[in-house]
Amino acid sequence: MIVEKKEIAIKENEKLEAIEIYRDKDLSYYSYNYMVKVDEKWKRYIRWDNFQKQPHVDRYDETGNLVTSEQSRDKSLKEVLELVDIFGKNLISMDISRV
Amino acid sequence: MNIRLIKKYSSVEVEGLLGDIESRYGGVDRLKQRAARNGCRDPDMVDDFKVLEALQKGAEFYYESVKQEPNVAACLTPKRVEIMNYIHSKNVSSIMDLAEDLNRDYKNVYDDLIALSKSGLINLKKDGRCRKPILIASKIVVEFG
Repeated sequence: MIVEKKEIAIKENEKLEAIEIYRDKDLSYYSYNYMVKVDEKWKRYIRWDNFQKQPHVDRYDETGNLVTSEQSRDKSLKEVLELVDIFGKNLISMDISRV
Repeated sequence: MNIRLIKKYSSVEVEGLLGDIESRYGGVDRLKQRAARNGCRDPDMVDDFKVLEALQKGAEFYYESVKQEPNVAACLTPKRVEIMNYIHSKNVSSIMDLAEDLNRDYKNVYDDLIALSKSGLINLKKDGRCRKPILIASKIVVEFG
């Protein structure tokens, strides 16, 4: 088994934090967290994960409270990076379960 | 240009990570219960639980940081690369020891370590009255384009 923790800078005040757990080369767990730096603190706004084998996307407010949680198809890190790259902070106000 | 810093944790570092997660939540069983109950209301807890579960089964742990800062590459002078290579191969306990081992002036080594620290390439961990330089990555990849 392999655990990979990744921090990927998107822009100066935006980053993606990822946890990926591989079992025999298959991705068994992932979480991809889109974070924005506000007042020198990193805040999570969007999160894709497959906890309990249920792929979903969560949205958080600026205080870190869960606002919405919706089913989503499984996402790869590459797909999430593309979404973050294209939409940036607009993701926060978008219907992300459809993208 | 992307700078990719990659580190594979040693077994001692994995033990430290396990102990850290366990002590934060008061044991594995409590963490498991709380993660199942709170789910994504506490996403850090869910991640910690999944990481702990994997590490307890003997998983290897890799940390990777991807930066888009050309300053990181500019920071890598030959002397600083020499410092990083030395820290990687030897257990350096203080800046003074490092300066002596490399046969260099303390002030110059100190300045190099501060520059490496500011670029996120090393940590200067307080150890009593000393500051111990710790390498953040065991591998640095520069990607163009």
